[in-house]
Amino acid sequence: MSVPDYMQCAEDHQTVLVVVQPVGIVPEDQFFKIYKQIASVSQVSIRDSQRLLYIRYRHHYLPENNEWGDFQTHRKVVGLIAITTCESAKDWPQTAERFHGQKELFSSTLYDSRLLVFGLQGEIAEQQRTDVAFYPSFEAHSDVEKRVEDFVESIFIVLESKRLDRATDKSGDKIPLLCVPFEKKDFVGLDTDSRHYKKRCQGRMRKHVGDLCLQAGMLQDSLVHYHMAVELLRGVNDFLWLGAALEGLCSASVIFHYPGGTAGKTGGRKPSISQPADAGKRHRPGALTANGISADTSTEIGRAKNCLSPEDIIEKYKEAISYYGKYKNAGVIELEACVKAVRVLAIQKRAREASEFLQNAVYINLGQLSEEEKIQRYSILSELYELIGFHRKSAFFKRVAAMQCVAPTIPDPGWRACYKLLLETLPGYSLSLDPKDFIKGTHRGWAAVQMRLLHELVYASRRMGNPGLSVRHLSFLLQTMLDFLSDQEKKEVTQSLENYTAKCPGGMEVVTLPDGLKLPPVPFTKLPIVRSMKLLNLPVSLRPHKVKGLLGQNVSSASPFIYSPIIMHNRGEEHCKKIDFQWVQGDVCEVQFMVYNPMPYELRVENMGLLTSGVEFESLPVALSLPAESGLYPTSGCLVEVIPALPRLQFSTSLPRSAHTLQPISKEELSSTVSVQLFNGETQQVTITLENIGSEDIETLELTSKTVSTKDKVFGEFLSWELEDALSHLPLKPGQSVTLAVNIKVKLDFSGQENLLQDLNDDGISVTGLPISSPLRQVLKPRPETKPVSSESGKAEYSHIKALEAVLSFRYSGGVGKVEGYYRELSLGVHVDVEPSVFFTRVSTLPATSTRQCHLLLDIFNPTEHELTVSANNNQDLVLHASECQRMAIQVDKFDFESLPLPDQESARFTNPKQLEEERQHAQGCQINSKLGICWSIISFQRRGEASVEGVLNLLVLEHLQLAPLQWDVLVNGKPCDCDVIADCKVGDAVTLEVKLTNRSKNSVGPLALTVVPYQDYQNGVQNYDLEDTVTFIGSNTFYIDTVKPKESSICVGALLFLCTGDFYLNIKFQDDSAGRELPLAWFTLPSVHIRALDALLQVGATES
Amino acid sequence: MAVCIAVIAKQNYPLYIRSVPTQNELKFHYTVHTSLDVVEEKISAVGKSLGDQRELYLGLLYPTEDYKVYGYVTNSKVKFVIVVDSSNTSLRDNEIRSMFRKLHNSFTDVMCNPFHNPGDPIQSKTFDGIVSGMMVQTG
Repeated sequence: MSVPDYMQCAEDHQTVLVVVQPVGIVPEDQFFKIYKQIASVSQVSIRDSQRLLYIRYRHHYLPENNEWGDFQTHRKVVGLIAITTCESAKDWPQTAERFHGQKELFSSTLYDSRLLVFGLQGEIAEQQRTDVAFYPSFEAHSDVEKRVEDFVESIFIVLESKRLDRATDKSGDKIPLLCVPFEKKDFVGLDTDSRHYKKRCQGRMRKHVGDLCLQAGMLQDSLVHYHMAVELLRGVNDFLWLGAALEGLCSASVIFHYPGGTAGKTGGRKPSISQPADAGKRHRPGALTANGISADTSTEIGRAKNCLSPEDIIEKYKEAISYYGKYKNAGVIELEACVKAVRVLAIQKRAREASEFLQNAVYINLGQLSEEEKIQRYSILSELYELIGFHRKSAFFKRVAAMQCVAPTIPDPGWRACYKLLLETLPGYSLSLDPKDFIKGTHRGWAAVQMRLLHELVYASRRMGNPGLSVRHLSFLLQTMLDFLSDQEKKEVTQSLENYTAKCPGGMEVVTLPDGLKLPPVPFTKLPIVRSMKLLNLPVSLRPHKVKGLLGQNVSSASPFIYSPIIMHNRGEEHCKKIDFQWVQGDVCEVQFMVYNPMPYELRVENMGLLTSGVEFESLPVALSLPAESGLYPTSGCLVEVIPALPRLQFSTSLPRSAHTLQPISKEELSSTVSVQLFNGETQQVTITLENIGSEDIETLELTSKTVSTKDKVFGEFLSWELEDALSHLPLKPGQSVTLAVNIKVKLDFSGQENLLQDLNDDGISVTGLPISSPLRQVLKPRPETKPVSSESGKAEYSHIKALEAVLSFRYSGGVGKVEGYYRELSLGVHVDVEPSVFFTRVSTLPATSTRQCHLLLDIFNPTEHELTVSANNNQDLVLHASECQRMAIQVDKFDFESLPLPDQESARFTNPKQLEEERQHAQGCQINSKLGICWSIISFQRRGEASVEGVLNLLVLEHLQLAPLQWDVLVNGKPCDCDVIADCKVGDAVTLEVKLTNRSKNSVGPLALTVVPYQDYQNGVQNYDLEDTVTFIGSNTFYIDTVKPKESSICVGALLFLCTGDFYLNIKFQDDSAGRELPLAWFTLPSVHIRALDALLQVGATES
Repeated sequence: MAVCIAVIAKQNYPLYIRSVPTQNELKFHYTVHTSLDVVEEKISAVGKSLGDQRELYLGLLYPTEDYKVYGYVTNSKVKFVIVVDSSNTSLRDNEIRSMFRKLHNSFTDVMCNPFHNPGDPIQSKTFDGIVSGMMVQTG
């Protein structure tokens, strides 16, 4: 007996063995179908008795093992069911012959046999035999079970009779000595009459009867017999049989204690409904006697006592196994006993003791085992270890079994089986083939062991002829065990990976094994190591912005509180994981990696992509090559917000693009920058073409501009546009475009450059408020010849170009993104190099003859290298050569700044006084500019622009230009009289002199006293005030004006009488005490009155002269 | 003396493993790895009887043909495994116990190191020295 049955378990001792075999040619599948059907009859309730008979079926059984049938009766083949096909009646005799031949094999032990004949169509001439059944086809087998049951019953009858025969056989008759095959030769010539021999025979027979009782369903009887056998055999030191008796005792006890069986799922014993009932019956002692089969005399004695306790079972097993161990030839018996004991222990959950049994089983030497047997043995060991919860040990043996499958001695290695077994070991080594399980932290496990296993998987799968699998495993090995590989190993692994992938490129799809195991793809997240990963934000122009107005959406609805610190805190943690990054659906976005190659050789990265979840995502892989050990953190879950699709806008302008960067704004924020060179004061129009290059309609468009803050003051509006026309084209379909005109107007103050002023001061033009009463246009003194040279050098300093920059922002939205409240912003940088055109080096005023007017003196400097023409409203053009400075006088009406609209109260309250003042000045400057209308043009370039005096106006000048709030009107003979007007009168007529004061100031003025002093100007510097005989006052020469309230006027009237002809001047003076000294003197300037007294006759001629 | 000494973390992965015939290290890996089954079994058996002051020393885990494997579990479920040659019959149980105690003390020192991250493999030179002292000195 050399082949152990590893599937055996304790309760198999109560079964009878029936061999089911095909005879002749039977299709395998049909045979197994029938076999299954037969095997379903695993227990049969015997008629007229309450006992159950258990049947164990085998379709293959070594006759060699059958020889051990006396030793343990369950090893004895007692029944044979042969299955055969028989086409026609004439084949029948031959078939019957074969059946008999088959029977011969087991003839020594067989109780009964059956032959099932399938496929016979006709009738058989031969008379009906009980042991043969005919079926027309394999399909018609409905009564097979019935037949098997009948057959089992017939076996039972034989069994029962044998049992009774042996059990009662205790008379003085000679008891035959039962023996196992290898013993036979030992007993030759032994004294059969000795007491020792007799006892031995008795003991063995007892044991045998015990077996039979057990098989016949008489558990208690069997226990008694076993006990007696143990006693007898112990006395004669018949260890092998003593062991068997002990094992029988154990088996019977196990059956008693564990009616559910010990085989678990691996065993053939199937739980049946009748099981509990049957268990109950066994406990009923009456059942045994009721059927009239009288048992041994000892049957009534302490049934329960006879049964071993669970602890004793193990003890006895140990003992039995130790006895078996004494016989080299009983190795199989010992091994099987071990397996049975382990199964019992597994049920008892005594893993440690079970492992000891297994440990013992490992060392049982069964002589020369075939490779297949070895594999089977290791597999079973693994299974049993698994059964007692020793997963690691189980994995170890499974691996050994796997290695055995491909042992070099095997001519045809079973790589497939090996691979399959290896896969089964994975859980035991706590190794999962999903790389995701290895992402977190450092690898923790038995790296050395796991690596070995992976190597074996790789090798096995390669030999299996599945390079795809080996690539997957190898990749996995490289990815997960990288930290544990030495440089040399890394090299080897990658070398072989390269070789494998040359044949079968690795992919990112899941490899599914035939048995359903899925091997997920292995991305090399550690090769190269990603040192940093950065999502490159979309270009600013494409970045989506959330419309701020929709604040309500942002407010968390989770809490009823507007603010809660607790919630804020929690949120903060959540946000850590979320990258502040928004990705627009349908747009391409870049991710930047910094990678490090930890391998000692060059690494070629060919397919580098992103692992994502959540959103459908297309990765555009990149390829790169990294030298050895140059340049990892796994990119663990980060969230990216994806926003619905938004339209895209592109623009082109009529101006050239420039590489200028606007200083405070980084270049990336601007989509593009245009630059233009302009002379100060020039205006240029830019046409911007906006094109929708996205796939969504543009529904809204806004345009804003922002001047990049410069230290230079900008006058006027830099950028201006009309958007209405463009807006009328919305919504803009993809591919459409719209144009927009933007005016660029530059007005800068270039005059503030001190070096220039100093330079010009040398020329000695000093203009003060001299009472020059005539318009003056003074041409600058010609510079000395050396001057241009020095100005040339100075030019570098003062004529440098100023830059003015602004950002035009187009804010647009459309499509789904708009609904979600997102928009995009496209920015255009505008860079203007402003070259100085004309500028005013100095501004001063001269009072004009009229108090309502004054002369504005402007020193205009041409810093360009071209000839300039300067023109002003109602004034002559002035031609300026390059670097020339000239003075231009413009007579202007004084300005009534009071009439300017005041900034509204609301805004005034929130701006500081300084700003208000600036605003006011700005408004004044505008007014002055518009009045002056100074323009320049460069004829050679055909360029023209405005010149602004705004920047050069100082307070003093402004004051001079301002109309005094107290307005004095002098009327002579009812005619208004101003500086240049000569009032005519006749000698001897009374001339009415009217002085009118209109108060435009905010306070009331007065009372005032005026004195009129007439004088004659001889035009040679002499003034004659002694005119008492030529001019006389009618009434007082002093006028009194009462308090004049704001916005009111007061008139005082007097009269003069000229006695002689001549030119007279009237000097109207304030009496010292009366003029409110708190008011500025400029408010009290009265026009001087020029009166020409004429003879009444000469009057006409005088006026004509 | 010992041929292999291993420290295994609570989660049953090795923190430290060293064996004397270094050329056949893998074998000891397998030995120690499979011995964990027994260790776990022993711990779980003790765990059932609550309140018991557990004996840290687990005794002989299992004998193989060539080696005997002994186990020891700290209260924090860190396991020490010592493998000794079966032929070394002079070694008594007490000596094994004292070896474990020494090992435990040294391990405690390692854990006391503020720069040691519990759960990381042990790289302490002192610990290594102690282990070397317990290992078989191969000529």
